[in-house]
Amino acid sequence: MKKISPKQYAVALYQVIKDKQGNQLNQAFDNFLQLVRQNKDWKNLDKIVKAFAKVYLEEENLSEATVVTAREIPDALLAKIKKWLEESGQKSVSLKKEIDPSLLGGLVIRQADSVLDASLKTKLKKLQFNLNK
Amino acid sequence: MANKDQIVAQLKKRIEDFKAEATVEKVGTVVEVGDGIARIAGLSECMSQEMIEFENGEFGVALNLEEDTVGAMILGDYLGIKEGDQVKLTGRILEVPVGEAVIGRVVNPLGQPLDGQGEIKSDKFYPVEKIAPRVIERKSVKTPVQTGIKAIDSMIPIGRGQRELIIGDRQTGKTALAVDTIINQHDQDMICVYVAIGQKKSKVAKLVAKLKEHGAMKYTTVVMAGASDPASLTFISPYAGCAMGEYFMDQGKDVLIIYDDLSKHAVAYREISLLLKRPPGREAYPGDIFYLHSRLLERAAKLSEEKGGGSLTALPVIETQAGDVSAYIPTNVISITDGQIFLESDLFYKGIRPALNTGISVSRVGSAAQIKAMKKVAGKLKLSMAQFRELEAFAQFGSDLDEATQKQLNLGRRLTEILKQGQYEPMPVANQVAILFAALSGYLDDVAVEKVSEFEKEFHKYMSVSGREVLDKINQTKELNEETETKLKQVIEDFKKQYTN
Repeated sequence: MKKISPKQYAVALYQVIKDKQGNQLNQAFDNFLQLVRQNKDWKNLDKIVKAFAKVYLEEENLSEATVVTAREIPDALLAKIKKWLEESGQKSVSLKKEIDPSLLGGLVIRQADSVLDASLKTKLKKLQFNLNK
Repeated sequence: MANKDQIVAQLKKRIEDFKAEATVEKVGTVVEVGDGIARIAGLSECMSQEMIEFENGEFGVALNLEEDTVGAMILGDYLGIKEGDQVKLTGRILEVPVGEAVIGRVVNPLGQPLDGQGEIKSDKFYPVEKIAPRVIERKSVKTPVQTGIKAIDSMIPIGRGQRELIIGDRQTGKTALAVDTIINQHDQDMICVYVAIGQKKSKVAKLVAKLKEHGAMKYTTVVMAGASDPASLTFISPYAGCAMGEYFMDQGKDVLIIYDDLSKHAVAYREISLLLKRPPGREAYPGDIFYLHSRLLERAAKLSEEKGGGSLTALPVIETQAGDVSAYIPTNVISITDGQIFLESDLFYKGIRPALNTGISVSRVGSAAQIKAMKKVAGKLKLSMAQFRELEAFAQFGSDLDEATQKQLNLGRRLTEILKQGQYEPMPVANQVAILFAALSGYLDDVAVEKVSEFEKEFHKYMSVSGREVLDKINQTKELNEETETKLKQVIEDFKKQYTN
């Protein structure tokens, strides 16, 4: 039989526990772990957890985004960014922030596989490339 | 002072005009890197063959699109790439600069200069991988490529837009043949591209020096992927060279491209494929190794008048191991090309150079790609040589031979002698016609076989002075009509009188 991929496990797990609560939920988890052990996929548990996080976000129409800035930014601005992201992506966004002084200025927003790079560092790099041409 | 201000003002303007727009980019992260191959997670929406940019500025090409990773080859140094590095999609397909700027230069497969003569400034780019011209855009091959090598121009003619394979063991003069052909294009209105695939850099340096010495670098581009360059560069080098040639073909010019050699190209592709974990097939080559060469050689074409009438002639080179032409890659390429030139080490050591085996070398385009004058002598030559080969084997046993056989053998020996040619000595087609005509008409029968090459040398010297008129006539009309023929005969007789005295 073909091996079950971590992603398939994750989708299955999500479907099973979607509407369950309390004891039922615990039972479902137990069963799931037993199944994984039976199939000797124990070593892939890490990957399954990661895949599950992705599946969960997708199914619940959520997304995670990180805002990187050179300096601390006020919460009001953060809220603005969040609102803008939610409107453009039609998804509710949970925002994290990071500080990276090497950006010099501006900001970088990372969301899933996409990056919006509006940092001063990148702009200067582009200017350098343009002047060298 | 004013000058300085001007520069400052200009710089200011450029900085002011510069607008960096923040755009959303698709990224991924490197999860595995090694041996010129990177495995990248993320990169959703990545296209096959798309160029990707690593954090340190190196580029790569996405080859394998898998369920959650992308396998890419790295064009350049992979040692600067770390696990966890960010990778950007560029949305472009691999391109090389093309145009007049690349002529006379030595470049790497990405179009970067290797000859230290400054940057290549070209605003035109061609994709490295391109679909070959379609049937409607093509025309049949008619005009000849003059290689300047007697044995080839007479018996294995190559037409513009043809693909003719040069195949042989190591050290049989494959590259020499290609270089002679390039040197002979000085007055043929032809642009040459020499692609060195996985060659020793010393060999390429020597070759470029030779081309310069003969003034051939004026119309030649050398694309080089050295033996120390990564397999990815070796892999794209013939496609890059072809793209540079295609530009001129699209401009209605004639281009000659030499891939030296495709066996190493196949080996480089095998390396990449195996590292990408594609399943190996025969001789461990991947399943699409045939397509690798067929799609490259199909790009050689003679375009129709509507498309400008340009042409791209390809001379791929294949190195065989101990004369084994039934190995995987040689059979593949033989079946793709329109004929092959076999070089044999036995002949080479016998002193027959170029070491062409005229028996099994063929050109499927044939005499359509010959000038009329050459056609006239070549027909007889081919027949005489075939008969000679037959009789030679037979004559080794018996000593009593009738006169007709004896005559055929004598002629054959002299023709073999005539077809020998030194390296870097390509010969104009009119001279070829003259000497072959002399031999086939029996004017050489009384010259000793050992003296034939000396006779030929003197003959050409004489022709360049006293036979100028006849040579010009052949060059102009491209024909050997009765009038020219009688004149040629007269010149030959005159020369013989003078020579014997």
